[in-house]
Amino acid sequence: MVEEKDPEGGLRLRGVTVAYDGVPALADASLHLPAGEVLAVLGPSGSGKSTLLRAVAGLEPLTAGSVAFDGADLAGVPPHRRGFALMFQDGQLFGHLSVGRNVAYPLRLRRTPRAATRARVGELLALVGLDGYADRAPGTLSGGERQRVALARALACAPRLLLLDEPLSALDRALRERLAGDLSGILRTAGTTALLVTHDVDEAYAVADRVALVRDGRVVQEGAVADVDAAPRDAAVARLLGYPHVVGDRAVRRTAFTLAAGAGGACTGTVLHARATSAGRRLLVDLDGVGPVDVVPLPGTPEPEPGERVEVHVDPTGTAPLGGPGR
Amino acid sequence: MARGDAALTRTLRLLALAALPLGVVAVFFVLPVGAMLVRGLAPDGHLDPGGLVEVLGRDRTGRVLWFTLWSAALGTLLSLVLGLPVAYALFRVAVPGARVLRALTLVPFVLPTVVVGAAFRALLGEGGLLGFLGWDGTPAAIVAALVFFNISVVVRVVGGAWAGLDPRAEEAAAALGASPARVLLTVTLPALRPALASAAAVVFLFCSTAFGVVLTLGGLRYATVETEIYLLTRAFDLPAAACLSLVQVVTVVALLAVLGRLRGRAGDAVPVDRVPPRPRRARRGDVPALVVTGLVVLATALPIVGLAVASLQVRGEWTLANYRALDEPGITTALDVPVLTALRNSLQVAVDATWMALLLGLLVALVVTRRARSRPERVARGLLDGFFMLPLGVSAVVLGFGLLVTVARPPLALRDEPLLVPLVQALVALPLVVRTLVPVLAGIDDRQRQAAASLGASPARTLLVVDLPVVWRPLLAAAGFAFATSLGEFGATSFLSRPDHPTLPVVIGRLLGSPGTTGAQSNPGMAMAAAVVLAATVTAVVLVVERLRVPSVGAV
Amino acid sequence: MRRILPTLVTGALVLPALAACSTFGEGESASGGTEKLVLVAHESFSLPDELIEEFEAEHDVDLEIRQPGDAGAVVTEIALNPDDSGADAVFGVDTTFASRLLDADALESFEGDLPSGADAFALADEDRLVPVDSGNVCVNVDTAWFAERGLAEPESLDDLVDPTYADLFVTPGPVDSSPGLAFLLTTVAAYGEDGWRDYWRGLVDNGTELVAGWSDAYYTSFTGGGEDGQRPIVLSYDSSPAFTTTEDGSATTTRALLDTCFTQVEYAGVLRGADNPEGAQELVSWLLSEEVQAALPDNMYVYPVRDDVELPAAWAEFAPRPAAPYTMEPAEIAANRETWIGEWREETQR
Repeated sequence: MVEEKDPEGGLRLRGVTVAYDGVPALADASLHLPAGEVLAVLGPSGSGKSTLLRAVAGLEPLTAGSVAFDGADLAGVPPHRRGFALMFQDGQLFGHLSVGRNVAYPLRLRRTPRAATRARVGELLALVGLDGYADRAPGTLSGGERQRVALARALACAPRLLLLDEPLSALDRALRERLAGDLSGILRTAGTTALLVTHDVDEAYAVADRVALVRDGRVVQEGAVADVDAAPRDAAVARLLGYPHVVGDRAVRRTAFTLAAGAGGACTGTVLHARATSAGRRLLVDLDGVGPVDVVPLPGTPEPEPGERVEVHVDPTGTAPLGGPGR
Repeated sequence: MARGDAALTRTLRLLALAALPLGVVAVFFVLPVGAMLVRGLAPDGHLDPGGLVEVLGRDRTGRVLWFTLWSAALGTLLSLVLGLPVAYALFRVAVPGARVLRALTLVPFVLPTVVVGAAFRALLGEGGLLGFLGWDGTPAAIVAALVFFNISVVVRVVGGAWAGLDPRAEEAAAALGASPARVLLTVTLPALRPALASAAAVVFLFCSTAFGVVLTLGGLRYATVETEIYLLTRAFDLPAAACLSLVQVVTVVALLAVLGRLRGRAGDAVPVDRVPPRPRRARRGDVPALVVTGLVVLATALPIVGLAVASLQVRGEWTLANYRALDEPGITTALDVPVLTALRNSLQVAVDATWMALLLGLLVALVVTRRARSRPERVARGLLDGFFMLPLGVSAVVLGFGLLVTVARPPLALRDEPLLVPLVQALVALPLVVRTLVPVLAGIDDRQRQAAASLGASPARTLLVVDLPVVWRPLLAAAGFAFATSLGEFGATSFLSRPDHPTLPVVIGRLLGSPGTTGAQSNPGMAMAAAVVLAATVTAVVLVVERLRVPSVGAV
Repeated sequence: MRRILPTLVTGALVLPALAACSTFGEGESASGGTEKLVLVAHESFSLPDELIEEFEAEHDVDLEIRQPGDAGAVVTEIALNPDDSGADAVFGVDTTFASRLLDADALESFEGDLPSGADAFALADEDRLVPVDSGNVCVNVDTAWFAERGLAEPESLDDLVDPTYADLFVTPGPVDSSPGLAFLLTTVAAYGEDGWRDYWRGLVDNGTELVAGWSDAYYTSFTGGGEDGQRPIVLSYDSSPAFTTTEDGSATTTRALLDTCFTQVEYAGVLRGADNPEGAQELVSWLLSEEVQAALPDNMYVYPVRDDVELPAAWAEFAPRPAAPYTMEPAEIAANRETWIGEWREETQR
């Protein structure tokens, strides 16, 4: 448990390639996930991130490369012998079993005694905040509840590695944020090593310690969440990380542009119009050489009219330099 | 008050949709079968319960019932056990030639039982390739033939559902530590339960009403309720025949009730709003399924190859004469028309039977899948669903004679109506069509219909924009089934067949029933050649139909 | 999108082709004014078109032939509605089914005259059933098979229980086969009420194969009929040898044992509920006419009842008729048939 510095501990992918009909969906992917940590694989849809997850689970045969856990190569080990657990976007609860029996499923596979199973199911349901749900049918649950049950099921027999495929994407925003916090807490409480695949940077940051960015079947950048966020490798990675704009060699967050008080802004632009958002009023400004961006108006000053030329200030804490290390 | 009106409108609309199929089944099924039952049970206008008790008390009745039950149950079980791996291999794994193999699975369906009986006896009889098994004239031969006929139902009904099954539930289970066998038992099969129950019910009905193969292969020792009704009717013991028919109807109704329970609360919905997974490459774990599939295909092919070989021989010499003779009028005195003319007749009848079955089946499926708003409505829909399965479970002989004494006579006098034969065949195909369409229609999210209605679409238009696009591919699949059923139907058809327009199965029966090896060809050889042509025709038609639909959408 | 075009093209090709296949609009071309005449016949009924057209022209009727199945089905259909069967005349009722129509009182008297030779087949004091043709159910042997092995061919019923011919005989049972029933009646006629069951026990003990229908026996099990048959002795008809000729027609490879034959007569009759009784009478007379009688052998494999028509050459040469076949009265058959079949089951299905 405390061997996280062991270079061969945890999950290691070396040059993993998966091809469908000769077309690679994942090319030469190498990753390391130390035991006890949570790694988010972040990428747009079709980038090959789900393929990576399936390859780790043993559901896709590798065209080249290797997947190893704790130093042991997993080639030839079928999914059910890997000691992992997989949780899908929509939970994939077994519709013909009750919530309790869904959670108990992996325990029954391991012939856990009945009493121990019942106790463990209760414990797990409590962990995910679903006390007393054991006899409910999956069809009667809300989307969030279903994901919690799926998580409890996945954790039931303490998998060596938990694989999460967009675990929160199907949920609405508020629920997603709350559940992301819960998930992070639960994973840390259980000390679970987990690999999370998502296209949502907030989900990744909320749950993961490390993040790997995948694009066109390739891992383009990998590192601790803070490191990657502070230095996206290129414009495309920056956009994936939630920087909507790139100005020069810097990625700029949505909230980094503010209206400069008088002259002295970093750039200039023309006001297109003003609108209200949940975070306060915003001006849409056509920034010279950049394009339309949201700009935070100055509090207590009259709002500029559409068509007016304005100077815009860029908050340096809301920007990051491009060109970070790939891995 | 307004609520009451709305409910009334709904009920009326439901009745309007159901009116046509209900009317057709009432006139062309309930009326004739009812007439035969009345003649048998109340010959003088009043019911004679004593006679009923006497027939039920006969030793022979008990033996026949018992044999019917266990042979049909065993046939159903084996069809399921052998059909499942085939369904998996042909619909879930990327097997080369799967499309052709899927089409070929319908061939046993259309082969006339006389031909299959002959082919089986040639295979299992003395000197046959499998003669060493000693199955000729034993229940083993009967059950083998039942399985031969019915594996295709299992493969298509279960395969269709399997192809549409989300593989991720299985993957989740595997990742949780379930071995492939456990995944199959604890995840896959439960998810397939509606399809399995549907297939099992249809197969059981087919098995328990099998007729020709039991007569031919049973070596006269074994009788089922169906053959017994036939023999009793021939012996003009109408009370006994009616009594056994009643037993048959009761059994079918009981079976349908069990099926309804098995399908469970979820009904038989198959999710249709997602793209089905592509068949994936074969893996090492698929080897057992592939081996079983290979063996099943081989075993199914054996009798067919056997009759193909027989069609190529005359007096022990290899020849194409039997095929050349198919288009020559007057080549044998057994026939009034060339065999190819009969094939054309068969195709014409099958086309009509197919559109009729589809029209009726679509209406029935629509009626029974609309979400019920109240308990009585739900019960009514459930009863309707079962009602249209009945034609599968009732003796063709009873239906045939019943038609002769009812609709064939004044005031209806439809005997010479060319559409009578296709209509009767459509009724026989109707249950299969309904079972194909219901799971798909039930899987449509009702909110889509509500969305269409809220956008101003009339109910008819909603049907057109929401239901039809989803259902047209399974509709084509059902068309294949209906077409094949019609091409092969012999029982009820033989009573109504128009002598100047014989269908191919009728002609084949006539060829096999008359002596003749006088010219270059022989009558039995021509019968086998005609059967080969029939098989080739249905395969071609099904391939074309399959071409029209994205593989494996829908239940069949 | 990529899939849609081929789909549309296939659909565009297939749908009209199918539409052209429908039976719609293919109504009967009813010739106005002519009266309709309906004949119910068994499925083997077949006569040349020219003969039928001649009859229609001569009597100005539209002859409609219904074939609901074998003789059993014909009789059942009529007996279900003896007062009004919707038909005018019936053909193909054989000896074994004849009394059911009489019992159901479904027939009118035939008013015409029987031609020469037919009298021999007519029932005593019965003018409602008119004999039209006859045939004999006889044991057949594959002469080539016996010649090859230098084995003497069997000749009599007794030979069939002789161990020399063990495992060589195949016959359809009486349950669902008309010749099969005839053979059962043969044995009753030959060995009597007391002896026939012993004889059948002997047949079973001697390895006789029992099958469901004539074609199962003749085409699947018989060496002379099918391609894979294993048994050289089969129950069939006296005319069968005329249909096992060599390709040039110069010889036949089978022979009927003329001491084992049972005569089946096929009758016609005018139905009581006939809409067109005159036409029905004319139709039955026509069935007895020289032209129709002469066409019977080639079209229905039966012998005419008239003794003044010529038989086809192959028949005269290869299918001699038995001199003294077994026979039985329809009434006796009707009275005992189900009992005998029941007893036969007991003997053969233990």
